[in-house]
Amino acid sequence: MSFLALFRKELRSYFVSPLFYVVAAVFSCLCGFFFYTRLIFFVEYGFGVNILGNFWLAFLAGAPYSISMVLLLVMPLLTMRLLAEEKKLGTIELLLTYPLRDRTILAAKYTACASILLVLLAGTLVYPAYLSVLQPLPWAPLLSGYLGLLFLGLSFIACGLFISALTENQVVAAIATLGILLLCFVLTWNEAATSPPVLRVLAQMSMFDHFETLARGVIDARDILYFVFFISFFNFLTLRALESRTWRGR
Amino acid sequence: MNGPWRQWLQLAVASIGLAGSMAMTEAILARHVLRVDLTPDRAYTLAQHSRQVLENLRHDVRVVAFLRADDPRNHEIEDLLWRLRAVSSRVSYSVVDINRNPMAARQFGVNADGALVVESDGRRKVFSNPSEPLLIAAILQITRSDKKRVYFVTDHGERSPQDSDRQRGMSTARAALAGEFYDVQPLSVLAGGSVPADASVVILAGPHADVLPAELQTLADYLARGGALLVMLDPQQAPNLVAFLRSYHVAVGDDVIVDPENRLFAGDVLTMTIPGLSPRQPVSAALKAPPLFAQARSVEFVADTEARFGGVSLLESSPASWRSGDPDVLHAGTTTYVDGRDVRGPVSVAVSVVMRSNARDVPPGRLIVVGDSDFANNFFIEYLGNKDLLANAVNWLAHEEELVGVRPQQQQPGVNQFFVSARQGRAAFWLGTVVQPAVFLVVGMVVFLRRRFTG
Repeated sequence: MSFLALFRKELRSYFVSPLFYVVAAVFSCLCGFFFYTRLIFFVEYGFGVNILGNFWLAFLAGAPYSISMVLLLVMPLLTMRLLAEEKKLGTIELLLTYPLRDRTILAAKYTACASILLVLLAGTLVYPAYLSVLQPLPWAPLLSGYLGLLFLGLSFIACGLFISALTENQVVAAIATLGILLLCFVLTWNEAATSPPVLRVLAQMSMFDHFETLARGVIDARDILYFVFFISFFNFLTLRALESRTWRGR
Repeated sequence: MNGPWRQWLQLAVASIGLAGSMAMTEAILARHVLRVDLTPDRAYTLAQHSRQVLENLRHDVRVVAFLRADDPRNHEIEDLLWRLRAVSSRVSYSVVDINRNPMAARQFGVNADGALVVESDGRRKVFSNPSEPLLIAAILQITRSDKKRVYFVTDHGERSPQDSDRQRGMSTARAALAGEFYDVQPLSVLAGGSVPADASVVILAGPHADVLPAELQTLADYLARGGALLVMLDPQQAPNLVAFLRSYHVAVGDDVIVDPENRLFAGDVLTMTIPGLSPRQPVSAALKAPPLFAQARSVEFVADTEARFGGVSLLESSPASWRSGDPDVLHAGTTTYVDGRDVRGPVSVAVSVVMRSNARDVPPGRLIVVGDSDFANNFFIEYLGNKDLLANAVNWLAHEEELVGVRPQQQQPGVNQFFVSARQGRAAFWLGTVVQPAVFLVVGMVVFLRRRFTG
């Protein structure tokens, strides 16, 4: 079995599962609702000021009514089964006996889940497409925002895949992933409990502070590197978790 | 060491190494701007002018931002400060939570969140609503070596910068100009006195009595040698000043502007906002809010066929306004439009004039005439764009264009703003909340049924 075969198998397992369609329906319903409420809010209260950029910023990144928040809620549901299910069913042993390197298994599962992420995000393009029919739209900053969403989603997958590699219980995997990601979200909400220097470090670590810059329409090397490091770090840990089965003897 | 312990150790070392290299790269990039700004007006990139100011700093500048913890502007303000520091190592900044550290706020004389304190070489400027233009202007002001001087003429019942009376005084205006780093002094030009050589701007703030011909000659001489004069002239006051201004192609009307639509809510009919801000002049183009005038008269620039004077109207009342010729309107406080007597608006209420000179060593004199002085008194100056109007006018007259010339980008109608009708809003709701999720559910149902019935 090659990377491509494993990737196809993983992708197929998503598309034949009712879970994906329920998740996709909930995702698009929440995003659509937030788009509508934000749109009405901005039209009513932002009359006559420079708000289109702010609207996209609020819709892509603003808590709690934004795509990023919905992504935070649904991605653990997509990543929870990636390795935990294999462990629960015992098929992980079979998978590890194939003439495949651990990194190929990881790459196939990661890429398949990333493809699902792309499908979900592509569905949300209907909102800017709809607005662009009504009036001219500056697409460049919006694309930067979507690049940010993509990085955010890829980071969620890396984190979720790692947690899924640690447990065979899918519910535990989903809740633990959600907990970690939520912690990343609220990392800088604790001003009252931390000193300014600590807060500055936390801001550097905060996934959502880095995402916000991209959502504004600014592609900054610091943010890109942050996400690349975040994804690499969790994928590295996932690989070690897969490897550890051999040296831990289970 | 062997077996699992060795593996755990390797894992720990590799994890710490990866996290460490990430932190190090972030630290290196913290002082370098490597970014692409895709916003239409490059809103998150420093303007070339700002970069020049920062690159030419001769003194260290410290900025302290007083922010409230949950203020949505924080990320943007901190990003702006970071961009400044990335350009110049002379700039340092810190962020203070005003709620957690009220003592520090009091120490700096700050009492509102969103305030910025800029310090350099013992000088300090405090301002609110931080933006790139305001921040760069503040840095310019506190790092300049010389302090320019503004003189207020005091001989004809003008408003005094020393007077703290709510209606008559202009002590708040003096404080505002001191914040712009001007030294404000009174000036008497009675009986042959001359305008001091160090005067950057001379202000006549609402003279009641007529200005003597000798005094007018003093002011004319001052303008002829490149001086700068700000005249605020209330209705029915100082008629010979009207004739003097006419020689500079400024026509000051014997009228009062009336605007029932833009009057101050619950105020009298003669107190109104002036919504027409000319984008052709930095003084008005940089205003973020319309000024509020009480009892204003018309001031227009009369075209100069000899091209000795270049003039621009700065402010215009709304199309719903008119210039009233009713002689009793000031006493009655109310009037109605009468055909023949009154003239429909919009009406110009402030102009700027540049005097063109053929002499090479004489800079062109500058003049601004505003048809009201109430806007700058202690009561009105804090309203809407009044303080900015006064500060911008003085900065422009003093040839400090960079303090008013760095303006926010003009909006692009149809791109930066958007409007949707009720029907379009409902379509957005149905499209996003109902139709799209339903498509996913239907496809999911089909897939589920096919699997069930085909095995």
